[in-house]
Amino acid sequence: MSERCKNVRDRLPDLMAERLDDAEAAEVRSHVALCKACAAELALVRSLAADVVTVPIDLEARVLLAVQRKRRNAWASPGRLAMAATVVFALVTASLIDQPGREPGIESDTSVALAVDEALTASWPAADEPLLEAAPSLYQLSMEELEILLQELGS
Amino acid sequence: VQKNLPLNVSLTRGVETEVSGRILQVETAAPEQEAALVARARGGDREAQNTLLRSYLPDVYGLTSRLLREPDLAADAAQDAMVNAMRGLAQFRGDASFRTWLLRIAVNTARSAARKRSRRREVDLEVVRELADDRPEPDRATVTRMEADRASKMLERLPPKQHLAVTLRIHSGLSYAEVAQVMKSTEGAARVNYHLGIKRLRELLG
Repeated sequence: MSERCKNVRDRLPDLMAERLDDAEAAEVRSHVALCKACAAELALVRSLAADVVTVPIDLEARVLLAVQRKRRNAWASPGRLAMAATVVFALVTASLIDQPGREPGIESDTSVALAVDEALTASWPAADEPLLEAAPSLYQLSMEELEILLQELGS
Repeated sequence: VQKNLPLNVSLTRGVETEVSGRILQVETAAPEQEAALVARARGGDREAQNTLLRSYLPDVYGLTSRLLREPDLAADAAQDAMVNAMRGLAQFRGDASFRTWLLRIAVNTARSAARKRSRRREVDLEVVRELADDRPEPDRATVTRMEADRASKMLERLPPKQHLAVTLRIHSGLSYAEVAQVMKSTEGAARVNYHLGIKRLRELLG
């Protein structure tokens, strides 16, 4: 095989995909018109390229659902469940501190908030779960995520 | 990060794909548009993640389908590849294009599915042998379709690296440099595998 044939065959997929500029495409076509072996290879590349794959109609929905499920599972990972448990513990402890007869003052509210913040900061997993990077604190969770958290707390 | 990019854009590059019977010729992506979307997706923007999923699913399914040649298995592999990609988005460093990175994940997922299938086929073959005598002759329509698919099916008979190089070059429309990135090889090796694959296919097809 000549260097010219090698060079042309190298670019046949690009010719098929219309990725060559006009001058290059003309050069390849004019060679193929005169070279039977390269023409045969172009015919093969063309028949391979003609094999169009049909994406199943439901696949996009399936994939989006699977990714969404994975996000939820990531949310319910052991680290986050531990975080939820810590928040519950902090809230229960705070409610015990606020016994009847004792004035619920700013001090106790602050201590609850601090306890919750501390719990969240201490147990929030490292940012190795990219899908949840956008939800760094309890206050920034979406309604959907809060509902999941409440369900988990209730179960 | 650009915040107001339209999210209904298709990023797939010039690859002809059929979605539910309609052939789409999609436009070439602007690299900066892709980069902005990927950055948003990495930051946790779910809308951006979903846009990436929708845009590249035909590419990913096209590849798993051609590597596995079994629609259900290919769909499962494409789904797994997409889920894995979204989970591993933080690991995307931008050394290759997002599409090339995604196709690499799809190749790995398809390989894993192929390994599981070969274990399953060992069992299935026993059943096929038992049923062989009762199997009806294929009708004419089936024979015609089989002939039409011949060239693509012959791909399966190539050594895996040649099969992959030909598929990535012709069907995914990658350059040799991009094929090398997906295959984790040199550009020269990608080129050699492609040409050996084509040569072998020509021999097989007579």
